[in-house]
Amino acid sequence: MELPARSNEIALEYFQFHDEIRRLMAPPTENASSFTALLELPHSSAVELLHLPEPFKYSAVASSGSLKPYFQHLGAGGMCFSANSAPVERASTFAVETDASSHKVKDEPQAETTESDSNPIISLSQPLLSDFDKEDKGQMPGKRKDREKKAKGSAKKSKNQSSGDAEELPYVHVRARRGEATDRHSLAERARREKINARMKLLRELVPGCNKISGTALVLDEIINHVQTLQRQVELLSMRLAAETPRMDVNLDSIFTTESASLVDQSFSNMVYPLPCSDPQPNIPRQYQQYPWHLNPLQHPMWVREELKNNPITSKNSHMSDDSPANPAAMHSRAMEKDRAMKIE
Amino acid sequence: MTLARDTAMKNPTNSLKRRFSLKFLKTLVRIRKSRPPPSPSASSSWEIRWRAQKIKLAAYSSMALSVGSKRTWSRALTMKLRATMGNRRWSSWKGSKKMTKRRIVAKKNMEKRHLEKDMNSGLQQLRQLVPGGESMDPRSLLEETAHFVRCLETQVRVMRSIVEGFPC
Repeated sequence: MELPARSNEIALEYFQFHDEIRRLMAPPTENASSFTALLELPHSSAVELLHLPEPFKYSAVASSGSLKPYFQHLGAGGMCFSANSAPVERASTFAVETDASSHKVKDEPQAETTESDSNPIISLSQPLLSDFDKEDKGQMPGKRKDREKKAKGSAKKSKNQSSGDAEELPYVHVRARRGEATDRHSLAERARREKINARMKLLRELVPGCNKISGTALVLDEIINHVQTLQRQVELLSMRLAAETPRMDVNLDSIFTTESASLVDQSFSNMVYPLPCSDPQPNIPRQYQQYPWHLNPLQHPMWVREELKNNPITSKNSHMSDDSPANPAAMHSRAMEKDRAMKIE
Repeated sequence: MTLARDTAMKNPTNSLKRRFSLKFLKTLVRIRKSRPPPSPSASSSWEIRWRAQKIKLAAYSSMALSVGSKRTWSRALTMKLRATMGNRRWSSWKGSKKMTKRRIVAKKNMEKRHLEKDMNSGLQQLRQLVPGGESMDPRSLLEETAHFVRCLETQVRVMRSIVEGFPC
């Protein structure tokens, strides 16, 4: 009873061995970003896997999180092999490699480990699973389903339902095993899809309104739409800026002469002062208060420009006398502003 | 009101926004100084369009500069901009004619996999949108897109805050 279920788990283990080896063989396209580390095992771990590590090493190596819970689950399950048939024996040897809590079959692994290398894993597993197929056809589908569900959550490759038959675990495995050439592709595609889905998740969070849409294609369309919208907005804003540039304030120069970051922050709003509007600036930045002639920058350009346009400046004169506390400084600043305005205009 | 909004947006220090805004403002000042002698108040549409084009280029270049060469798209964008500036062909700014062959090849490779047709057309469009996206595998393309979208949003926010400094 327990025997076929256990062997299925071993089959799953082989599956993961396969997966690691395939990953080694596939060209590495890793970036050094954080979520690739989450998704893929590092190459060092794959190399370790090749040499049939000890059980805990394997569980430590599979720290990406996908395999670890699965192996913990394996370790939790006790191993009892009747060791009747040869494939079961061989299965038990490999199981011992990855599960330290085995009791019955400890003497056998020494004989087997010598021949166990990366390649023999694959060759050995095939006859094993063919036997499993014969044995496990009708037995305990419910239990296997449970284990498959548990394994599904953790191991990537056990999710392979490409056969279309989701019910019986051995079928999935056997099909995955026998058609190995195509299987490699499908497994690799699965891995790729996983990574792509992680990226898509990130994009969904970025682009507003994508959380409701299900399905990759529509989300992609939404993202494309968003990017195009943003680019169009940039164009529009640049047009607006181009139209507004002639009226930009002199204070830009002062911003860059002082070159302090907070000044830049606060000066965004102070940068531009409208011509006809006479609203005084509500918040005067701290930096500006150091320099008395900058206290009311609003007044200066207005005054300057109106002077240029030869408007009556009597009202403006009274304004100025009120505002600038230090007259010589104010006079000086006014002269400066006037010069700058003249240059620009 | 804009002041509070701006300070809220620009903190923390040394963020992408800050770097971009500084660079962009510098280029704006330069553009303003280097613009042609002032025409009468109603400046011609041609002049405005020319200046708008310049400003747009300045925005993208300052964004690419503040991102640095960490990202593929910023590198590709910088190269494209340099080529555009060198050749003075403003029209070819958006369209990358050099990449046509690679685009066709990439498209063919994609069409082989019938399962991913919808996604492939979307990916193809993305490749055209994101600079440097022609020769990238889907995974990194999506990553670049995410970063590009974030940078575009920053750009739009900064530019909008500048423009809205003019109440009129």
